[in-house]
Amino acid sequence: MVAVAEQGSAISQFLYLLRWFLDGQALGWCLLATLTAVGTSVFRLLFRVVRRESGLRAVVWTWCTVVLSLALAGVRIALARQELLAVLLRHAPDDSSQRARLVAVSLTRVVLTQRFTCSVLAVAMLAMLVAVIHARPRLPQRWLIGLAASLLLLTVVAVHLSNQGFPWSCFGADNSSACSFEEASRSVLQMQRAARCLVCAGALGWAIGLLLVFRAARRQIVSDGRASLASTVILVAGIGAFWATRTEHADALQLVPPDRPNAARFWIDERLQEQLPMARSGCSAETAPIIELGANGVSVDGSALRDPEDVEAALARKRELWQQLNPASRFSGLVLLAAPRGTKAWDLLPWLLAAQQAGYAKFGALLQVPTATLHTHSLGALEIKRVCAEVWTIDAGLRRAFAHFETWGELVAADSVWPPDPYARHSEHSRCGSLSAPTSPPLASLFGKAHLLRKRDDLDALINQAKNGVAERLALRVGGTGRVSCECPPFMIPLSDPDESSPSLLAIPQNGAANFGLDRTVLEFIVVGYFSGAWIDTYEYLHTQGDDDPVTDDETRSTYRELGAEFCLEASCYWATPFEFGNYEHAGAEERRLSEENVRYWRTRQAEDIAQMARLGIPKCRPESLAKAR
Amino acid sequence: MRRALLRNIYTVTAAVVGLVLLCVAAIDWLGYTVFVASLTWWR
Repeated sequence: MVAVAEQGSAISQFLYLLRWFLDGQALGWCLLATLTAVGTSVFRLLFRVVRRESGLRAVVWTWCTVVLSLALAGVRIALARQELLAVLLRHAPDDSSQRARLVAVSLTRVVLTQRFTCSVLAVAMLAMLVAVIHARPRLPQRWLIGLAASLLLLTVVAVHLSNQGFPWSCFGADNSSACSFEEASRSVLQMQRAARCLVCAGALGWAIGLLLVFRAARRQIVSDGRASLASTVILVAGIGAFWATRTEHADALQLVPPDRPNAARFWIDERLQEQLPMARSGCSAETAPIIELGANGVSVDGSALRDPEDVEAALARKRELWQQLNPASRFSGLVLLAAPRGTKAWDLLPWLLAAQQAGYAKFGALLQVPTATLHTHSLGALEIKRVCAEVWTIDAGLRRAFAHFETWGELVAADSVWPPDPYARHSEHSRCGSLSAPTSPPLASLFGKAHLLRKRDDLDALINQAKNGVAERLALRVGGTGRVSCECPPFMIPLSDPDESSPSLLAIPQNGAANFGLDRTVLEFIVVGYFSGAWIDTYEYLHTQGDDDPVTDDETRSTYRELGAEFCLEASCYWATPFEFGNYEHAGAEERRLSEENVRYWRTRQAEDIAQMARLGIPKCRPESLAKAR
Repeated sequence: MRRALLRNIYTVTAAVVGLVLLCVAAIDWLGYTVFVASLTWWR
């Protein structure tokens, strides 16, 4: 049963190959008819040899059909190669799948023509050798027939063997061009070896022929004049054929090299390809949708579009389709941009945003690899143009780069070194939670010792001391910035040296101490506690209060990033400096009115702040505590 | 006789050289198909 099934499978495979061999071509049918005629002749020749009848006519008929089939196969291969060259040398095709089909059909025709012809001719030449050895009566000029049959047999076997595995074995391979190049090189090498074997076989045949000649001379046998004529014709034909195929021979020895793993070819506009930024080290071959910004507008994978919204929709459709086709795989999320290097980077930002909106996480620049030229004997110089891609993760840094760099070329040349974030946070982590509070002196005793720091160095010394793990409990005067016209944090540490600027302070309440928060008050405070040794920003302060996603506005976005000395707050009290009317004896009525309004406004604010402190449970400082702090 | 021997030598040599050149030319010509196929990874 298995044998029958295998037989059936082999027959169906043969019929399948035969259908591709014929390919609906008249020339294919003619070649098939000629090969059938060769088979018939061979059968007739063997029949005559077995019956011990003269096989001369069958030999002549076999050679005629063999030569005819060689000629037809040659014409068919030449035509198929011309078609293949026409397709390959044509510029960017309208439809790459149509082009791939044409290439596959032409190559299949060449390979199957070789395979069918070689198989039939190998059998024919074997039969011819049998006839040369066993035919009775003996064939005339049988040494010549035998030599020709032997060499042709060697040739067809060599061609058949060199075609094994090429060009189909690499379809579907990871790096198909490198694999195909390897197979093709192996095929060429085998053909070269076969040619050398033929020369050796010819030399052997020549030596045997000379022996026969000398033996014939001893018997005084003179060769037929027609044999000399035939030899001359063969020699002239051989020299002509050899001379005529030197171009093909030279080209077969220098195959087109395979693409390097980090370069790829894409069907993008030729002029645009020449204007792409130049490739850099680290550039890689990536397969992804391409946003092409050519002279005719924007397109995605060759489909013309109008604006970023269209691009976003097209990319989203591609992503969804890919995900449907590969439900178990993770989407790479890469999109490539092919744009001239002189394009303003800012003008390209909409395409980046469109890709990001469409769910793509990576953005790549399509770059041109320096053009390589292959000098061929039959087709002249062939330019090998390739591209590669530099890929970036879409993030704030990349978006800043589009705003920072003048042109697309400059952005690519920046080597992924984007401009620094002007709003970057530099905060340290809060240390109040990890520090153990000093045990002395007692909190209450410190309010009377509250003082002003003199210089910034004093503050730095306290902070360094805390950084080294020796926090010092102290009472310090702190001012609200409610009266200062600035975009600054809400609290500052006033310094007695008027030439020094006041650093900011962020107080982290400890052990249930009342938190005076982040409101910019017009009050002043005495805070008791210790510096943690860290400089933190308001985001970090809010993080310690459990708020990791604070609502910000234009002002706080900037002030929240400013650093303040972290102070671990254990107790506090406030006082309010009264607002006084100025001396307006010589001022006009309008000026006096404005001044009074101003004072009233600040007094109202102060009253509100005092009410807030009462709600928070922060006491007013005793007058004796303020003596030193002022 | 000597002339006949030379003619026989010529006949054998010409036939062998001609046939070898024809076969080598055929192999080289068919090898060009591999070069044409290699153009598929150029374009």
